[in-house]
Amino acid sequence: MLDPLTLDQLQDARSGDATAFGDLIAPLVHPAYQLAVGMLQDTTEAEDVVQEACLAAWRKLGQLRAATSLRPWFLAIVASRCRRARRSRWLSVIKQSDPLAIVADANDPSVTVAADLRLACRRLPHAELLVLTLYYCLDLPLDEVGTALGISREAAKSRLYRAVRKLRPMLEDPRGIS
Amino acid sequence: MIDERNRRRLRQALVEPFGPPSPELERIMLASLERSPVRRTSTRVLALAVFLVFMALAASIALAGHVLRDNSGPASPSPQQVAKELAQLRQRPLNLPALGPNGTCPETPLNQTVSRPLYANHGPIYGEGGPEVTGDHGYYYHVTWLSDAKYKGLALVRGRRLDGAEQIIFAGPLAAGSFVTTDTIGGTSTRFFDELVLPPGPQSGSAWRQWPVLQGVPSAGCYGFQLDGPVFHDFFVVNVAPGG
Repeated sequence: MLDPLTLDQLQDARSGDATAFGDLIAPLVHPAYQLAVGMLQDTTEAEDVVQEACLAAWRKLGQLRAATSLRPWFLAIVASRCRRARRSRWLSVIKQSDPLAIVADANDPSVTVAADLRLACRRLPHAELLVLTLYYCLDLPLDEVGTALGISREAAKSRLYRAVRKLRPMLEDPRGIS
Repeated sequence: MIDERNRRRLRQALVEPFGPPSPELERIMLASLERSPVRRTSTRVLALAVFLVFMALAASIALAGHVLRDNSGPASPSPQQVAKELAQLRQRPLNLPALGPNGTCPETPLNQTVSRPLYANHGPIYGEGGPEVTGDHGYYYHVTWLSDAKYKGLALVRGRRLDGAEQIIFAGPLAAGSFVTTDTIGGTSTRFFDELVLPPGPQSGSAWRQWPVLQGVPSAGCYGFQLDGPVFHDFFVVNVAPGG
């Protein structure tokens, strides 16, 4: 539920006040970027996606119900743009090299293990990578994860469980996985 | 589901190496909001855009007519000749590479020998990526096919999945071959076929020819395109990343 101040800002933003919308969206820029970079593994693409999502949110603001939290609604838009960006890569841009591989030191086990884990995450379907990033990297509660994904809390939990199971061989301490 | 240690490892893998966003990002976003049209005016902006596109189209048709009238170069091949060449190209079997060891997709690197990175091994026909469009059953893209200025002939484009049986499908006026499926693209029911025929052009002129095309694949995977013309054969392979 939005607080009264936020509701006022939302009202102003809906009436076309870009500054009010900017005030609403500013605290969400960092989590949106974290989500995008987690999904795309590329800072430039992530920033592009966040900018696109911001404009899309500005245009779609009329669709936001007052009772809905702004954060999962905006993150859902970011996620949708990330999905599109991942799909568009096939004929648009082939990533010739992984920038992280450049700094990876093959002799440092923590770096190579992180690289393996990253690769395993990149191979996950969009929906599973999304739920992992929202829950473990952005610390969203499962309710909000479900809202962002347009599914129930229970469905979000199941999806999270499936994603974790796929990563199980890559995680360092299997005792920490249930 | 996972403990704090593994959670930290996940963050280290996915998010932390990239650091925070650029300090400019928020400012740029807010500036773009100020510049973006207010939703109430979007209809007017759309109407203006449609009007401008219409005017540009009308102007290019008029210009094309003028150019064609003035064209004193050799004539294009006759329809009968084109049909005969196309029938011969269709006789060529799809000859695409196999998957690599461990099922890896033998992706073709972007061709950097031309002015911008395009898909092809040798040319003279090239593919260029474009934005994805949403459909109900597959992955669709507005791509551009290009022909080297020196090549004036016909080209046939076909393709299939290397790690499966699905075909690459095409829509629009240049789509040909067998009907494969119908899908709803942007609210419009669209028919897809298994071939793309790029027609021969006028025998003079130094500009590259370009064709915007809607094409798609039914699912993520490794896909090979085969490009055939009367005087060439080429192919390239792309990997469609899973999107969900």
